[in-house]
Amino acid sequence: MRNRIQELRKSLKVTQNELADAVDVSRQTIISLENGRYNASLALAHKIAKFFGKQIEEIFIFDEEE
Amino acid sequence: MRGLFCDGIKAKNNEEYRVLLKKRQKRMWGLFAVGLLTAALGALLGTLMRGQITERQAGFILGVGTGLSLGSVIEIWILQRKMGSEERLKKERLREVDEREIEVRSRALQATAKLLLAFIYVLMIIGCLFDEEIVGVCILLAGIFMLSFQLFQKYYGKKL
Repeated sequence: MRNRIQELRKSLKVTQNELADAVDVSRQTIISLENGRYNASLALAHKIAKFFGKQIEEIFIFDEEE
Repeated sequence: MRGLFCDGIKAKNNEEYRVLLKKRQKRMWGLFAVGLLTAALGALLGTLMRGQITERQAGFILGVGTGLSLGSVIEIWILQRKMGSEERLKKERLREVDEREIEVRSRALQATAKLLLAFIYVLMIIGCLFDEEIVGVCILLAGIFMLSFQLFQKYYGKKL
């Protein structure tokens, strides 16, 4: 699953650490999310969406083939 | 190894995690007592039952007890250090509750279980060339492992 976390984070000039603190995960998790190596749970996806003030679908792009 | 027994996943903030760590410290004190008793038992057995048990056997019990006591004390000190700073507490809490870390531990456990089963199999094959008792122990270990897995799978299947 692709996502726009890095794009949105940079547009708001937020560091990975700040985002990690805001959604209560480790910085390594944010790195893995941005690299696409890890898929967020629904709860985490919701927290991230809430942080950016967007809908989950606007941040996480679900590929039909997956 | 500590990750194997993490129960901090219910802690939503530093305060809750601190409470959990204090509970762990109490358990460590219990373990420390068990270690002391074991060491005392080893020393006692070595003295009172000389001739009936070997020095090696008594020494083994003494060593295990001493190791357990020392390990508990070290863990108590480590837990105290974690609680000393809010930043360190948060870092440790995230290491336990972070969903990616939980996934990492789960996969590590699965891989370890497979490796352990493979190792037991190889030990059984090699062991049967030297001592048949090794075969029995290996079969018992593998049997307990698989039975436990089935039971826990049923249990968590119903719970979740």
